[in-house]
Amino acid sequence: MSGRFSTGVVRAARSTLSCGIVGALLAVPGTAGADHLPAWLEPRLASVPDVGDAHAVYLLRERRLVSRAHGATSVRERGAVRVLDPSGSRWAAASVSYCRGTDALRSFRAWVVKSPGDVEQLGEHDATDVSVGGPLTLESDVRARVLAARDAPPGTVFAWESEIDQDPLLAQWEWSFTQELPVARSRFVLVLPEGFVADAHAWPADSIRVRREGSDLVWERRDVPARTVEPLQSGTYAAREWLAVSAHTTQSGLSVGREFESWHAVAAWSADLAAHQIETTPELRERALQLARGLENPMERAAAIGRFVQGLNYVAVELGLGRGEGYRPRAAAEVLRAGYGDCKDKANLMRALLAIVGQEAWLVPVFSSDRERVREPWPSPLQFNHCIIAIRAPEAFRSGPILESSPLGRVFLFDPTDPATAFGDLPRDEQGSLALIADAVRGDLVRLPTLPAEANQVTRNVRVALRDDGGLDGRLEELCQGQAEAVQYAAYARGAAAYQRGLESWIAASLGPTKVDSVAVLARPESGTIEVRAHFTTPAFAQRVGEAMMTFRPALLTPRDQEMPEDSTRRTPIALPGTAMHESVEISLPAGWTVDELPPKISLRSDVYTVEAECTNASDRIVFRRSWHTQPCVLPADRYPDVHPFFAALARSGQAPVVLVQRVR
Amino acid sequence: MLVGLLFAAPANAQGEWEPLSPSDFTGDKPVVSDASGAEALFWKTHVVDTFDDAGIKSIVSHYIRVRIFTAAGAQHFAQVRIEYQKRASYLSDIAVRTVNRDGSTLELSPREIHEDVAVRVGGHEWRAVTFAPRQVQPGSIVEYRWTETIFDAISHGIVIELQLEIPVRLVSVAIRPLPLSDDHMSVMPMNIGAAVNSVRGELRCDIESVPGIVDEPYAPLGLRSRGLLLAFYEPNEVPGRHFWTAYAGELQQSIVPLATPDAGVRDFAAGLVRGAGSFADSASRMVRGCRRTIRPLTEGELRSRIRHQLKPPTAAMTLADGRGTDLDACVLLLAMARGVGFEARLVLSESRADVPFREDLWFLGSLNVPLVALRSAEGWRFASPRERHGDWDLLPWACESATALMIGNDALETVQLPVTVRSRIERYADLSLSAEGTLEGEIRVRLGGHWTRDWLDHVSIAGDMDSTLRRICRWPTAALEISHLAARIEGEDSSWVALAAHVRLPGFAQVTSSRILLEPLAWNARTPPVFESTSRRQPVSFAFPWVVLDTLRIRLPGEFQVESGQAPDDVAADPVMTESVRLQGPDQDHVLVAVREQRIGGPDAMRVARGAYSVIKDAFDEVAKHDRFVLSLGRAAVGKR
Repeated sequence: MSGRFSTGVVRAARSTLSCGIVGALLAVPGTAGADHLPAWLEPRLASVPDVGDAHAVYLLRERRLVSRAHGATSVRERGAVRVLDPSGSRWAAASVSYCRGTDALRSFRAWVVKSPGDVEQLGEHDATDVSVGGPLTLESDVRARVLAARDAPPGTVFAWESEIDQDPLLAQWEWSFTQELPVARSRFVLVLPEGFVADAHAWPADSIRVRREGSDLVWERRDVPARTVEPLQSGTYAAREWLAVSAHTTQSGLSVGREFESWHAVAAWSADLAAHQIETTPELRERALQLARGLENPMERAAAIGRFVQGLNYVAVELGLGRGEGYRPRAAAEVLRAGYGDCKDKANLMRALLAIVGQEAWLVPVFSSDRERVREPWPSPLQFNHCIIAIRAPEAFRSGPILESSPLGRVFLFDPTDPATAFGDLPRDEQGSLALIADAVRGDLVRLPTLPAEANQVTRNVRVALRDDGGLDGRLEELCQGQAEAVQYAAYARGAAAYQRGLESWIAASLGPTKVDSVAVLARPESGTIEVRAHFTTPAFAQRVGEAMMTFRPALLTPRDQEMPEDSTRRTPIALPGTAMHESVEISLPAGWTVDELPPKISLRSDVYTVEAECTNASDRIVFRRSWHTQPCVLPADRYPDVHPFFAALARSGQAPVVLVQRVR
Repeated sequence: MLVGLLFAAPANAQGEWEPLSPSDFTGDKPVVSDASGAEALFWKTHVVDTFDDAGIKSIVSHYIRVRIFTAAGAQHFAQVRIEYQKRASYLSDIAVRTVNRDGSTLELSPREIHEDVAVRVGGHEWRAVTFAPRQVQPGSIVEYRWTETIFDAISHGIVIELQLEIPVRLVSVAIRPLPLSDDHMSVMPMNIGAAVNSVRGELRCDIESVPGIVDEPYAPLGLRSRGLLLAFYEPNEVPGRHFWTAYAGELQQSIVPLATPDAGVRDFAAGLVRGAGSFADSASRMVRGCRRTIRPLTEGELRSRIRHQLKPPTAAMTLADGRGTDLDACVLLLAMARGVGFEARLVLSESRADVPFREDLWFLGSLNVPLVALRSAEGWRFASPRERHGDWDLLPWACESATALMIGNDALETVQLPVTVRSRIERYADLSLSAEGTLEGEIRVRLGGHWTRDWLDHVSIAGDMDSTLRRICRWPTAALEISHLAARIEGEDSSWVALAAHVRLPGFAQVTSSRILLEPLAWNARTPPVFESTSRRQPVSFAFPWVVLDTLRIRLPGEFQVESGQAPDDVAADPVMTESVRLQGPDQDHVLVAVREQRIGGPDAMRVARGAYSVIKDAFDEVAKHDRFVLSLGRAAVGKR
């Protein structure tokens, strides 16, 4: 979120600025005429690959890097996309991102080819140049130049070429062959100066071999399918073919960018960048002592400091990225003074405050949002996009995300950026991922701990009274812990009214139109729990079937935040979140009605899950109990047949109806 | 990036922080809306119109003071962004500070206020000033002020928005107009209750307890959902119809030479209508010809025309150029119609998403949609040559039921534009139900009227027919499998969109030990309620009226028959909504037919007052309940109850 603030004045004669910007982005004037096509493009125009039901297809994606011994690198990108149906029109566009200060965008052109005689060339005058900094970014050096076809009916080929001169920070590059669209031909080409060798890694392992074309090292793939999007993916990297390349030389004095031989080297470099950013100031000292006052236990002190740092606002400053500033936290004193920072700023501030109270801690670069992203064979800081902290943990401290035998000994992990995740918990997408402990001497890559399913527990109790007309009146009590709590707490932090609307929306989606009132939320972020109590009224829940029958689903409420894969096949690994759910629903029946059918009992278990559901009838009421439990793990796609029954059973337990009939009077 | 020059100038009259009072810090909950994480204590806007050797300019100063109540509120104001267009205006006198409960203040230095290019395209540049107030946390006050100087502009025909994302305790706007001899400034609040006072040459408007902007389903569209203040200069005489008559006369004088058909335009029109059998046929051909021939100007072309102060083109020039503004296209259609002997007039319409037209206000900006009226034997018919799709006389939905001025040779006529009732969604399904509860078969969807445009726009933006089909069918379940999806546009005017697909819904019907429980309305049965919230802040507004007609043929498994259940009663909340469901069968082939017809909105029911929300919600809730009605199918051996 940001305090985005337009001037509040709308001129009749001039659009609002935001409208103007949108209009400008959409407006892509072109120079009509039979412009010449580049030679590389012409052979590809006739190509119409068979790509099933895709809306468009990349005919070519190519990046060619020419690296020189003094470090300057030329990057040329070429691409062409064919629009296959009206929905594919939006792909007739290209963008090139560059970093101000270290990159020089030399040229960027595009061609819109609707037919052999209808070619439109787009150039600098047609391009839109935009800042890429997100809404939480104060300043950013990262910009993008965009070219787009004004219209691109099916059959159109949109091609582009860009050239950038770079002064690269690192002698490392990566290339994703898999895209959102199928790719007919994808190439990564590297030209290194004399004395350098390339060390490449490809995923899936060894799927792509290098070949030499003169001085060019070429990695190429043909007919790459579009990225597979399925529920319960740990991210996009497990489902893509990609390449990582590092350049190395043994000759002194030569460099095409910083090289890393090992994760130790990456850790040392990261630690060195941050080394001077924790210098103590009186303000830092005062704040640290204030936060730790009265707390004897070192982990209690760490928790107090962690909560303080999480409470600071998130604001990123993305300057000097090409010179490595994107990896260097701002000085702790400066972050404290400003009261805001990004992930590494916050982790570094926490490290500084901990140091003042005598606790050792290290920055830990991780990749947020995809635990499969970081690959051990390629030591590179390019693999991280987030930063957390590792704190030396005393032996007596047993709970939470603890790494028993890291290179730095026993450490406790904490994310000082995510205000919804309690001290003692770790965001779900970071658990089990590879991360780097940034220490100049003993730093190394480690696998972060995975918390057990019981750490993310939901206990839900619902009591309702069903009426003769199908309406019901009920009470919900729910206790969430761990990551289940984090999701609810993040929603609650946006405001009580918005939270109540969300609650209404969730219940209404399950039960039909519903009024929710008497909402009470007891959030204890320090202990990682949130308790919700609410009363709700649904005028039309159970369906009357004729005069003497009524039916309803006793599970009442759908699982919240539970992805449910329903396809019968699977192509990508399944990332099962660790979850434990215990649910009890008690439904008192209206007078004069009796149970005719109950859902069958469900009981299923395997090495990674259990699910139990049972509906019982006791005179004037029905009790539905359901619990399920999944072990946090990533399973290969071929294990899908083993876990699909779990999701099917869970869905069945939620859908299975109760049938009531009216007693014969 | 810091543009030092911008901030070097000394503060102007607004360049002082206003004193804080202890009451600014009292209370730990917002006053206007206790659900907000932050609340503006005030938001003051001061507008000064000036004139000097360099020309006219409007200087707009803002000052906002915000109290932070929650961590979410603090994060919301952790960073502030103000945008403007370079060369059209510039920002100055930017000051930012955080004040804590203990009275300590943290003011940003000019170096901490950043400016950068947000977007640059075609020689135009939009810039963004960003800053991050220090130590923003619950309990603190953040305040900032800035001045925007807008070149070549005065506060004539401007709309000042009076609402922010957060509630505001006091919105205060003051405008100092240019002292003119023949004209004076008028200020008019819209969609919000407020009084305007004249104080020492300034017009002032103070509004207390202004709620934050809220997002609700079927909210009034565009600016009609916001509190606004219109400001405009008008003649000293009381405005009224004679002003509009004079305006129409002037417009007519300028349009006549442009819309006079030359030989080329005549030939073009004559070629189009040759062989036409009726007025509607001729009109349709001309509108279609105009739509296909004239493409809209790009933003760059439009700006270039404004920058070079180019005169509006004649109809002949527009035809030759093949591109033009909405007004250019209308002028061409006028000329074409006149060229083949039709009586035609230019129409200026308000938009239901913009400032409403009022005859007693000299606010030209409210009539911002040009249309063309063509006289038929039955009366005037209206057309928009700029719409890409739909029947020739299907107006933009925002113009339907809108007030418009029809400009004739010697007269001015105010008209209420017609509302079409031809927007339809027709969904047809031919499905089979298996004994395991799976529904599978073919569906066809036809969209007409405004839904055609909605679909075409949505596909071009969202780019995914599959998700669009799910949206149209309101079939959110991930279990829906769609294959063989095909779409085509029907009719010469692209009046209809037809979609066809094979669908499969595993486990849609519930199978118990002795029954199948089937919701025969299929896609409607799993639709979430339209109005989820029990409270409402704004009126309910429909963009246009429409009809949904569903026909579902479901072949039941042979061994099952209908045991119990019947179609629900009709729902009638006239004139806003009606719904009826009819069941037929099953016949000897075990085919059950469910027909549902739903009408929403109507010529007289496009907008429903907030006070009637509970009535509307109850009606829609009743429909949701009915759409989920269940049939119990028993095995043949079970027999009928």
